[in-house]
Amino acid sequence: MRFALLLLAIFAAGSTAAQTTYPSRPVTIVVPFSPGTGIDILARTLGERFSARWGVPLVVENKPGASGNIGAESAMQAAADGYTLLMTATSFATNVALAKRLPYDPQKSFAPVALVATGTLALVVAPTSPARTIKEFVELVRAKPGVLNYASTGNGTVQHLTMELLKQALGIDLVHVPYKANAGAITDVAGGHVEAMITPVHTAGPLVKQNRLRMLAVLSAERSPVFPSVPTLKEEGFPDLEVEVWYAMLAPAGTPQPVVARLNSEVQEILDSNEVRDALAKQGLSPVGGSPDRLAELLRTELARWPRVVAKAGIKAD
Amino acid sequence: MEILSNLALGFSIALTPQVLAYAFIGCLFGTLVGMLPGVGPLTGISLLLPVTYGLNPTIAIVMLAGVYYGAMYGGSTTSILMRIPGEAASVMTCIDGYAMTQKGRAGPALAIAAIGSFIAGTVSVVGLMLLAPPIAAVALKFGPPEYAALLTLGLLVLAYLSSGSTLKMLLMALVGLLVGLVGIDQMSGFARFTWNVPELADGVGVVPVAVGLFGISEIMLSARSSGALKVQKPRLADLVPSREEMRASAAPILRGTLIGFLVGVVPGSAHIISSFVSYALEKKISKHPERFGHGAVEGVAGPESANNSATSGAFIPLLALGIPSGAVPAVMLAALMIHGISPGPQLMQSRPDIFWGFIASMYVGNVVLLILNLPMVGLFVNLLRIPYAYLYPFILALCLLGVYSTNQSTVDVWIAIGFGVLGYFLRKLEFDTAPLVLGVILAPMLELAIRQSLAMSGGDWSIFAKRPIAGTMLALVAALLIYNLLSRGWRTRVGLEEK
Amino acid sequence: MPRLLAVLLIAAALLLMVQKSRPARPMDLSDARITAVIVLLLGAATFALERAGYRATVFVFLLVVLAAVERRPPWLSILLSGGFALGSFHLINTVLRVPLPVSRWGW
Repeated sequence: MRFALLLLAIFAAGSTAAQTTYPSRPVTIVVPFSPGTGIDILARTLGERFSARWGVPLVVENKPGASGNIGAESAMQAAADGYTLLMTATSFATNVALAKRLPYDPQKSFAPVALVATGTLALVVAPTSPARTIKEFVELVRAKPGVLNYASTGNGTVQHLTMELLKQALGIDLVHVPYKANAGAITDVAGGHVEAMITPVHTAGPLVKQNRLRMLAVLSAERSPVFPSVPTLKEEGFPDLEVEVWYAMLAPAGTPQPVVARLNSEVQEILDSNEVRDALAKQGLSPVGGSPDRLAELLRTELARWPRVVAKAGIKAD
Repeated sequence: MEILSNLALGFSIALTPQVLAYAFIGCLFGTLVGMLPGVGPLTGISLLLPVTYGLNPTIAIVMLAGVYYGAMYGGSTTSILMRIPGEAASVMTCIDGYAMTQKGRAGPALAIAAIGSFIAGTVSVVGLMLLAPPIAAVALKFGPPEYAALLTLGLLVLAYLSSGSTLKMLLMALVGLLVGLVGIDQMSGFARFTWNVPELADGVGVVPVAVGLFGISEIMLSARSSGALKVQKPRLADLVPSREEMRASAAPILRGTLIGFLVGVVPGSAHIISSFVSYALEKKISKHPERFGHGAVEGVAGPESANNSATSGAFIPLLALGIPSGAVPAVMLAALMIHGISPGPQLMQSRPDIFWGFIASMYVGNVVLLILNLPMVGLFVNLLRIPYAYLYPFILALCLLGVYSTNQSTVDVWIAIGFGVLGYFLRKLEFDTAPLVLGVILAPMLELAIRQSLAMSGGDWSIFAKRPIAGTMLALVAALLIYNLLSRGWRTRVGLEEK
Repeated sequence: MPRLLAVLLIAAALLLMVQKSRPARPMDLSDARITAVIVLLLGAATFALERAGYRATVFVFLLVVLAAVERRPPWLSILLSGGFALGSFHLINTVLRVPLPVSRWGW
């Protein structure tokens, strides 16, 4: 009996020891995009809070390139001790659909830590467009297949694929005009050069308020609190097309379970703070959190969905 | 006048000691960051962004704007002293700026760069203040065809950049254009020239090319003469620009300001080419174009001013419409939004204190930088007294550091080294390397714009002629081309005969 | 599009070669040796950067250039190289929080 207690005590001491010694040196989070992008700012916001709570700095390492593959590969190769993390977004799933070969396995190379935040997408049209509701838009496009254009932030991006998904589900045909960055794309829709695009709600926000853009629908389950008058696609009688931009934190596969759990609870607490909720809301993001399993579930569904869209639309990338 | 009272409001906010202190920190930080080759304002702003969360909006914006301007100033410093471009926009300053340094006129070069930047920054902020809404409305009219036309104009600029034979220039430009096309094609998703190296998927990157071609090659060329390079002991006269240098710089500064402002307003990353355009213009209208490349002060004054005013110009779409026109304004937009500010026309009405505080802080930032930089001129020139043999290893290490830090990528460093070797041989063969860099910058943008336009028109090339702005610009380009070919006789232009 | 450019490039190069049949000054390659050494050292440094970590690489690089190539006094070279490697690392990595490569052994 005493022996058992002793074992228990040692075991408890051992596991608490493991808990308190992490983190004992700076932690790096790899952001596979350039500084200043939404995901980078999110990572830095989290980083500041982590550093304050742990007393150990969390450093952001930007490794942009190949739509996030370079950063992902680098994180995968790091030691699975919890000192290297990866911040990733929806492109993580869409890349799988596009690339012939990936240097990593999206399911097996990483351990999910936490789903951090999500953002809502919206369908916007140029102010010069005759369509005032989503129904009118669909009719307009069906009447002129292959004539009207839509913008996106590039071939293979979430905006592009989402619009293709929309085209397939709604039975409409729009011509794709890719841009290099969101700024150029949205400016041209506002200028009436291109008819429509899918864009995050908060990016379109200022322009919609100035009547330089018209928001026809949001692609979430519920209406956006920022634009309560804009219907969801579901409400308008169209098949349930929910697409969200999501941001998540991953760790290399094999990172010890207690470390993952600790990280997850930290993220949860940070996301619960008013300051962070506020900052996120201002960027149009909703904090999520939840257990690592929730993230795993999301990854599964996303990884199943996008290859179908890509195959049907015939999109290729190298 | 209402504007004056608004400005007064803005200044009363901007000139408090606390705000000034943060402006100073931002400028200092920005200058340090800008001096690192390749690391530019984007990195600097992103680094300080989380620090600003707890600060009040005005202070946060002032500090970040300070970083932006500071980085532009810092970039010119390394360009002039070491011929290493701090960022893509400083490339033109390297040419005549470094030539001036070699002649012992580093101090005046730095001073003129600082003064020109200050004047340009201030004037352009005035322009921003007065003209933001109407200009923004015009900027919206710029779609892909107009953009393509503008960039074609930029290509024409190449013709005026060369100091040697047009044919050599053409060769350089073509190489640059080809290099610029490396990467995944935006429209089809196919990878071109990437040889399965994932880091090349997004293109070669101007920074490694510029740093290698200009900075590293320069060191390779000068390393041997390390003992013989003259150690300059600066007298006061060497720190201050001479009367004629000042006089010669006046007009280029004004012209540069105007050019930079106009080019900067166009949404997109076209503002990088403002310094190239300014340089070409100065060279074209100068009475002694052969001086360019050997230390013509106009070659520093013009591009530097163009740079700074393009910076302010780039903010116009952001402030007036709420649309960021490039990566840096996009981060500023994020920063503004995090602090609860939604830029756009309503900003002026709903939060005049923020809007005018921002404008006032841009003035303040310019002044702070001038005060910061002018005394440092003496310090920097003294740095040059260190024998080159001690200096260049550290410069090389700095290049390594700077190029690596941009993308955390050794591939970038390899590219820089490769272009350094290329630059070495090109300089030996008397090729002018600037058109190459311009080609790398222009190629991806131009090709994308053309193909977007075609996608929009369904493959119809006449879209360029049918749209008024694009059509006018292209007609202008054509006219300039014809004028040039006819004026000096095309045979000498093509270099088939000696002039 | 790249094919178009490639064709133009080759055409221009050929034209240039035709034109350059005038005697030109032979290329002054007297400093080729030191250039080659610098390039080799830079290459080695780049190769080592992520494997050996920033500080070690920069330290060795500077040391070799200062002491071996430029033949400056060894004690001074060590001092300057070490100072720069450590100082710049501290400034960039710790103060500015831009990560620099750190090798597996923590250096």
